[in-house]
This record gives sequence, structure tokens and C-alpha cells, in this order.
Amino acid sequence: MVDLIPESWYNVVPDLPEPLPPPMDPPGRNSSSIGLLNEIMPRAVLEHQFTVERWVRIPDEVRDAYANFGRPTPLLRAKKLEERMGTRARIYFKYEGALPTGSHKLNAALPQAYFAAAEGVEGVSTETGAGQWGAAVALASRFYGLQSTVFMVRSSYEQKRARRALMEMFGATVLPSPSDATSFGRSALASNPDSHGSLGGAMSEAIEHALERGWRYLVGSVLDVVLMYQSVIGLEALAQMEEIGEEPDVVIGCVGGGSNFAGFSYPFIGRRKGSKYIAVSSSEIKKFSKGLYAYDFPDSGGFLPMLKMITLGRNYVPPPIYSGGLRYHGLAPTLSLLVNDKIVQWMEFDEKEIFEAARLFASTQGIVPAPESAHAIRAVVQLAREAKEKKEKVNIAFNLSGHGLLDLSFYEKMMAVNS
Amino acid sequence: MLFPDLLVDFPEECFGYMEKVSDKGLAPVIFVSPFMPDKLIAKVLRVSKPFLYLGVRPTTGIPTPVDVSALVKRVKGLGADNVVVGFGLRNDEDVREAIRGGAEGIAVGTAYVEAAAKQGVQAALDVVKRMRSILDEF
Repeated sequence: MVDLIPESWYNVVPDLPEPLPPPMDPPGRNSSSIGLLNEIMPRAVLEHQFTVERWVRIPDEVRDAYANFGRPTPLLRAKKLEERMGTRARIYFKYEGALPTGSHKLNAALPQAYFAAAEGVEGVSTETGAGQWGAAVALASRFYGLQSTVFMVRSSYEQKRARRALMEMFGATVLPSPSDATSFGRSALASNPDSHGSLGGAMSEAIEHALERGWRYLVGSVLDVVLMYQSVIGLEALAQMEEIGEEPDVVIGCVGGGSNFAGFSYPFIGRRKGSKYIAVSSSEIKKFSKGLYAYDFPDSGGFLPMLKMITLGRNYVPPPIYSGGLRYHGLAPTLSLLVNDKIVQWMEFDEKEIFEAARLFASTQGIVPAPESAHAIRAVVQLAREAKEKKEKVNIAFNLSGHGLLDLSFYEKMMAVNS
Repeated sequence: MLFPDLLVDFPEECFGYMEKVSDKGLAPVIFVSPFMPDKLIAKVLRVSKPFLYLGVRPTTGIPTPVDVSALVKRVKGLGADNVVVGFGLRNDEDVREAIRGGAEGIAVGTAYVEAAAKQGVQAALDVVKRMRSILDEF
């Protein structure tokens, strides 16, 4: 089983159809944002970001940590869902909810915490939306003996007390963002004391916090190095599908910053396995339908280098939908390029639609999906329905990026509204 | 004839211009960056003569950590015969790493200019001598 854990991460950049526009310093500034990365990110992580190689060896210690926390995760067939729908589609899913914090996020937190600890720093900081990334950082930093501070978007901080408790169980300090702990947070609160907060804003606070303490800042998504660390999902899935003699026709995942979708789909794209790749987001956010492909800041404060990406603008404050992991203005540069080139297609669904898909999945497969992952399931349901109508046999593979057992308050509310 | 930005800014049009340059009897040298896909670098290799110019950092002035040797090995693995590495070599060790990775030469710009601006021409010439001595280690 452990042999299924890959020995190297996969970087899609050498296999892209065109050059990836590199990170850029904002014009007209005296200090370099790219230079700032040297002060806040673990050196090895930055080296992985800028040393573009197709394969990057996973350190043995990180591979062991992956195994310790439950990798490889299972690849399962959703047979009961297929039967309930009466479709000829075969539906496979990679179940990242099997990891201890309940989502794929640990895959990128472990290497970053490992590299930070190797540098001898005392602690790390980060931001979190739904709390999935924050929980992963809290566990990974505890595992490597580091302190951690997590800035949690205020709307999630108030809605998702269980995940906050989970982070605190692992020893993290969790602060609502905007907070009064940073100058960025204080100025955001001064302009709007009732701010729900946003992922981009929480990012800026976490960076400021790391800078003040000489800590390291861990990145949860968007930067392509994070997508590379997540490639363990797709590499395992490829091997698992090969073991059963199957290949996907369609590969699907939900998208916030892009890490779970890319982690799952890029190894398939790189190996030319599959003919359709679908990134699914929220129709309340409209990142794909309204976003522009342009250079923008990944964080609201504009600390980080500009990235060419599909963006709604760094000052965009997303509506407080429950799927906190999707409440983000930007999209990872490699995924933005692939969407712009129409190699990756997209879909958007609203909360009611994803709730119905989640309920169907839970009632057939027994897994309550994270609301973010339910976006992917909603797309799967649509494709399986189309396959039924056209009497087509199609293999669909999707990433079930997390379970929703800490999101039951969302489902409770949706059941009350839709009963 | 060196084309530092043509492929970066105009990947579609670049190869048409290369043909025109070759038709005039000039050898076009094209700059590639690590953010370019393998397929494109392989295509450039066929027209960039007498060498390929490989940049190793996203900007020249910022010492982002990169594995210079690994980047050179990547383009050598695509069949590059002559690779000159520049755009972001930060120190002597970077130069050694480039050569260890298989580079045939290095391109140094900022170090000369800075030495000349701060300490005069002799200092710039000393940079040349130091670079030469590093290359002679191999």
C-alpha cells in the first residue's frame, strides 16, 4: 500500500501548452515582493517554486509523514450512486476526507512545516477560510514541533466553531480576520467594523504576523508549488486506476485557489489520461464567469508578488456562502492558464444545487461531503445524467477533497430551508 | 544576434522572425526561462544558434533560491548542445552549479555594471578574471 505513495511530486509547468507568466513585482515600488518571499517562506519551498522541474523528489521524512497520516487515501467507486441514478457512467472518487483533518490540505502543510522546522524557526502562521487549511497547518506544525497562528476569516470563525476547536486541539492560536493583531487587520476593521473578512485579507495578516516574529508563512493554495505538493493525490489515483485497469474520461474537482483540483487532475493532464477536465466553483462567487485573466495580487494587502491569474480583483469581498474554501478572488497561475486555453473547462453551481448533490451522495455512499467538495459532486451528477440520456458509457473520476462532518450546521440549515 | 525578450513576449511570432534573421545570415540566440514548457524549449533548441541562453531567476536583482544545476540539467535533457546560463546568477557558487549542471558558458551582466559603477573599470575587469578562473576550475 505504502508503495502507492509517489516518490516525487509532479510539476505541470514543463507540460503546459505555453510559457507560464512568472510572478512579477508590482511596478513603481521601492521594495521587491519577490524578495519578501525570501523572508517569509521556507527556503526549500521557494526553491521548489522557482526551480521548475517536472519531478521533484519527496524527502523520505515527508513521505513517512504522508504514510503516518493515512496516505495513500482510498480510490473508491460510487456504485450505489450510479445505481440510484440509473446511469451507465462509472464514477470513481479519491477520498481525501480520510486524512485526519478531514481534507486534502495536509498534503501541502506537511512538506512546508517540515521545511520550516528544518530551518530552526519557532513557529509558522497562515490564513484559513473554511478551516481546512488551518487545521492541516495546526496538525503539521504540531507534528514538527512548531507553534502556529491561524488567521481565520471572520465569517468562518463565527460559523465554524468545531473546526476552530480542532485547530486549537492541535495547539494553534486561532484569530478572527480582520483582527486587531496586525496593522492590516486594524485598518480593515477601522474602515468596516462589521467586515466578514476574506481569504485575501487573512493572508495579508498572516504574512505580517510571520514577518514580525521571524516565523515562516505557509501557503495553502494559489502558488504553483502548493499545487505541486498536492500532486500526490492524482499520482496515487493514476496508479490506483491502473491497478484496476481503468482510465477516466472526465476528471473533476472543485476550485477555490486551485490546489485540490490541480493536485488531482494535473497528473492525468500530464499523462494525457482523460479527455475532459472540469473545474467547479460557486455561482455565488462567479470566478470563472466574471473573472479576468490578468496580473493581480494573491492577497488583499498586496504584500505578495503579482500573479497572472483569473481574478475578481484583490479587493473583492465574496458573499458569505458556507463553502469558505471557495471564497477567494484568484486562481493559481497554471490553472488560470489551462482554463484560459480551454484545456480545463469550468462549471459553477449555487448552494441549493450543491446541497441536493451532497444529500444524494450521502444517501448512497454514506459520506457527507464538505460543501466545497459537493460542488464537484454536483458536476459529476450532471455528467452522469447526461451519460444516462445519451446512453453513453463514460468513466468519471473526481476528487472528494474533504468530508463535511464538521459542516453539519450548513446541512442542518439547508435541510430546514429545503424540506 | 541575441533576442532576450522576443520569445517571452511574443511566443507566437518569435519563430517567424527567427527565420528572417537566419535568412540574413545571422545566428539568432534566444532566451528561455524555466517557466517555459519543455516542448517550446525543444523547439527553440533547433533554431537558437550557436547556443541557448537560459535564464535562471524571474528577476535579476532578487536572490530567490533556485537549484541552478537542476535547471541546466532540465534543458540539457532536452538535447541542448550549448547552453549559456545567465539572468540571475547571484554568486560564484551559482556559476559553479551552472557548470556542474552541464552548461558550456555563463552570461554576466549586473555584476560587471555594479562593479564598474561602484569601483570603476578595473573592478569590472576583476569580475571578468574571477569568472574566468571559476570556469577554469572545470
